[in-house]
Amino acid sequence: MPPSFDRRALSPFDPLSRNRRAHLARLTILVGLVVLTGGFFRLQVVQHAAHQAQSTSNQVRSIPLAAPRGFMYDRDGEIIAENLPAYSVSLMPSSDRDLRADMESLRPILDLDDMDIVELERQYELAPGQPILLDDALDYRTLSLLEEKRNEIPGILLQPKPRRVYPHGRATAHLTGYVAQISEKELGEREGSGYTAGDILGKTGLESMYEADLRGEKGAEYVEVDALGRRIRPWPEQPFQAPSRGNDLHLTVDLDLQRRAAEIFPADRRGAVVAIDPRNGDVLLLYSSPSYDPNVFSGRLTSDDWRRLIDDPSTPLLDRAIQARYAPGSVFKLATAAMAMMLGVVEPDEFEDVPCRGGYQFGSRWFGCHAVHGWAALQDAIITSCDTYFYQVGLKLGLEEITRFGRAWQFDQKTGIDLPNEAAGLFPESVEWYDETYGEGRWGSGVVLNLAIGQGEIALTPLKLAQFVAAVVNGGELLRPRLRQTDAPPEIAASLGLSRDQFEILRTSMSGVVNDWRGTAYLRAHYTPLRYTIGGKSGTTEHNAGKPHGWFVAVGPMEDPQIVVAVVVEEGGSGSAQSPIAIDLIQTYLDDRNGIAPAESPPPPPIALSESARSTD
Amino acid sequence: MRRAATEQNWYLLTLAVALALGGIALLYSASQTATGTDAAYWQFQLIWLFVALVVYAFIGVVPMRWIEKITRPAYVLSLLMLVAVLAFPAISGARSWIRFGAVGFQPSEFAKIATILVVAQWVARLKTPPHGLTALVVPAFLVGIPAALTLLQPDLGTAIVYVLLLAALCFWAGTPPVVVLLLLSPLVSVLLTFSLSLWSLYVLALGGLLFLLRPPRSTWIYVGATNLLMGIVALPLWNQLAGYQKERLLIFLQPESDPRGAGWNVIQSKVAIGSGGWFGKGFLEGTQKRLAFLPERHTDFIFSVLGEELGFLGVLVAFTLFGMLLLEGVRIAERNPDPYASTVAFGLVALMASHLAINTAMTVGMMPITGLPLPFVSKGGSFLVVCFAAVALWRKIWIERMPARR
Repeated sequence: MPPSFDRRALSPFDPLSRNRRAHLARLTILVGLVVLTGGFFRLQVVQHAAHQAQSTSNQVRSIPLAAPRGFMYDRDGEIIAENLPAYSVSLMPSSDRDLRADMESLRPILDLDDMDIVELERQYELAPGQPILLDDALDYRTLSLLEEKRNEIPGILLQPKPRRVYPHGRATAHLTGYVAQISEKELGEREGSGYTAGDILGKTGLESMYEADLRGEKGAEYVEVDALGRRIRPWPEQPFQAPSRGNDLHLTVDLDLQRRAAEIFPADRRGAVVAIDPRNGDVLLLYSSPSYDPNVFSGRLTSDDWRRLIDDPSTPLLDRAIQARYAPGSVFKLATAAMAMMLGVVEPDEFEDVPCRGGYQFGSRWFGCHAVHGWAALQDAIITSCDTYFYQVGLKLGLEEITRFGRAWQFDQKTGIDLPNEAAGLFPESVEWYDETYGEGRWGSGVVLNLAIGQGEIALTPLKLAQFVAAVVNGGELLRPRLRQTDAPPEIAASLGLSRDQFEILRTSMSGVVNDWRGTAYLRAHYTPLRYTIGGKSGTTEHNAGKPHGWFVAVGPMEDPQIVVAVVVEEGGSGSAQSPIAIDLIQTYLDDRNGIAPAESPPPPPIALSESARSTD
Repeated sequence: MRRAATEQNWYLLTLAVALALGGIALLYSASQTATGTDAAYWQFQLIWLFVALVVYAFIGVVPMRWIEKITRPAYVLSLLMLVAVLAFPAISGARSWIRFGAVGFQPSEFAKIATILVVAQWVARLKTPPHGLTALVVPAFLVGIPAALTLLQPDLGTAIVYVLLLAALCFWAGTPPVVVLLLLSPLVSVLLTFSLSLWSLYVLALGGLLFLLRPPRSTWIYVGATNLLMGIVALPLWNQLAGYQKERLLIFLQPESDPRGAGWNVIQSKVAIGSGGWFGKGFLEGTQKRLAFLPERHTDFIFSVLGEELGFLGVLVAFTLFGMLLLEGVRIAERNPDPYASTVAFGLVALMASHLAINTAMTVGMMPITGLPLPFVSKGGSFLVVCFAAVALWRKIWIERMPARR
């Protein structure tokens, strides 16, 4: 190209200079593109897995599906606890602002109060992103109202959630316990075991004891959500994982017996009744009065309902069969007699030194008896429940021996039944215990007289007393009571260690209490005809306020004991007054075992509770 | 020169139309979400593509000399529009739209072209290449005025584009690259103002560079004064930035600091692109896009839809197309000996390249979020027209590479 005469010839735009710069520009563009490509390569190839995972978790949310709990069956396979199909409504808000607004618009439908809303907001804070359970016992009307609201409130989640139902709620309440939503505290204690807010947890009774077996395995619903947390559709790769039902629980109790107990137990009275099979420790019946309906906990328990249960002076939630302790009264004479025979301090056929003149003079103190029994041997004294006789036995045994036996026979321990929160018996562990409790020399030697007749420093749960009486009639084995059916041999907690003959004496005496005309329970027990040979022992517990508590522990049939029933009725008057309850239950049970139809069973026994306070035995 | 009106650079036009059609395909995908499909996006873009092609054809019949003649009025007009736009109501925090009823456009897109033209005119009048910084005062002002007006909108991304344009145009005018770097040095000061120690190191390094180069005293004064000034006033200047801009810059530095808030866009974009892998999830199959995790997926983050659905290979194809387009632009600038035409062609390359780099780097978190559209691809009519106007200018400059002897 010839030198140009163009005025721009000296400008930077001569071909050579342009070419150099164009090369530099091309290089810059290529380097820039390579750097950018490198950035995409790092993200899309090197870090692909992490971003893929993030994309999936962005997109998929798992909504837990409640597992149906295992059923509970009685010994005959009748249902004690089951599940019914129900619907729950939860909220999956995308933000806490949405939560507020959603709850406001749901408030009238679900009848939420301010307290509920505060509580639900707390739940959201605990587990944001997780659905918050609003109600898990929807009726069909509410369900359809919510169904209509679905478009307006996209976070609404309607899910099947099996509802725990106890068909005979009140009759089995203290046995089954109840289930309810897991609390924040319980959630903290069970961290790592798969519980989330809104889950159902066994709170008391067998539901709590066998929670791990009953709860089953949660399933999940996998849904695709958009950036606002709205559910779009089921996740195509795995829309659903079915929950699996918990293990069923087969119980030793007899539902008919439970229902009978609930039916005949004086409705306005507090107390308890338990029955165990003395041959193996199977618990046949466990009922506490007053009872409550455990079904109310399965739904959304309103604070009013809860307050009513908690504030009820008769404490219906207390399981009196294993948590309440009462002085055993005269029932304990069986234990005193057993101790005395074992130590050989009494001869069963001989009278004590002093006959019963309606009481016993000990030092300067007069210890009363409820009647004048005159001269009596061991069996007579048990049959008539003569205190005077047992005062003298107590003195012969001495406090040291009684406390030693008490420990050996585990009166101060729990029975070990498979229920939570059982109370141990109260029993002085030694003579020193009195020194420690009352101060040295500040207690009289008369305590041993009281202890010998089951009064004073002794208090046992109905189950504990039933366990002891079962040992008396089964040849001396203190069996651990059990509610879950098992093929395993019974677990022996201790042996009483008496001879056959000595047990025979006690059994004969118990038979006499019911069948001998002098027996304390003779009249009451024979209001209705007895179809089996039944024995028992009454007990009347004096206490500081009101009428005495009445005990009756019964066994049947005496020739082959299959059931021991212990009844206690608070302020029920004399123990013998409770004998119809125990006897009716034994006959109900034995009828059932012998194939006699329930229709042939008699109507509820006459139970007199207006007995005068002085009538003790 | 009758042939000029019909002769085409088919290579260039094919690339541009391919990119625009690819963009419409991506818009078609981006508008299909789980909550519904909005066909309006891609249909409007298709209409705008026709408009853009009409504009392309129209520019085709105008000789380059005429364009050179209207350069100044166009520049002044665009400045007036940039002032006028400040009187219009803000849309999502920025006053960047001039609107008359339903019709609206962003003057800053046209102002970029006008600025390229006016600087090219300045370059054309140079007798010798500008060797020192003092020679660059005029273009610095020519670019600085629209850049400052743009910052007032505020639109940080476009302002950055202006700075890159200035650098590219000065470079094409023959300024030594080192001088261009010195010209830009105060900007680095602004960015380093957050850390006194980093800034001190930078100033020391700059001093060392100057010592080695032994430039005239004026350069010392410019570099020293501007860098110190920037170091001092940058913090108050920072406080002048709109809240969302500060947020965007901070989030760029650490997106995970606020995953639910402003960092959301970057994180979700990275997740979308990263989960695409080698081959992508398939066209229309992007879950991040479909479930609306991806923000601004029609405009600023359209490239993330590409990355998610077509994978790394799709990204490679896109970069290849853009690379071919930019290199063709460089070739056109190189071949046309006319300083004005050549500079315009190169300026357009710089404009497209800076948009491409800033937009795509943003989607992978290599740049702060600035809201710059991706040329030819992002939704937006006025920018698509600008892009095709650029192609039309390139074509014209290509055809006129052998100027008729006058």
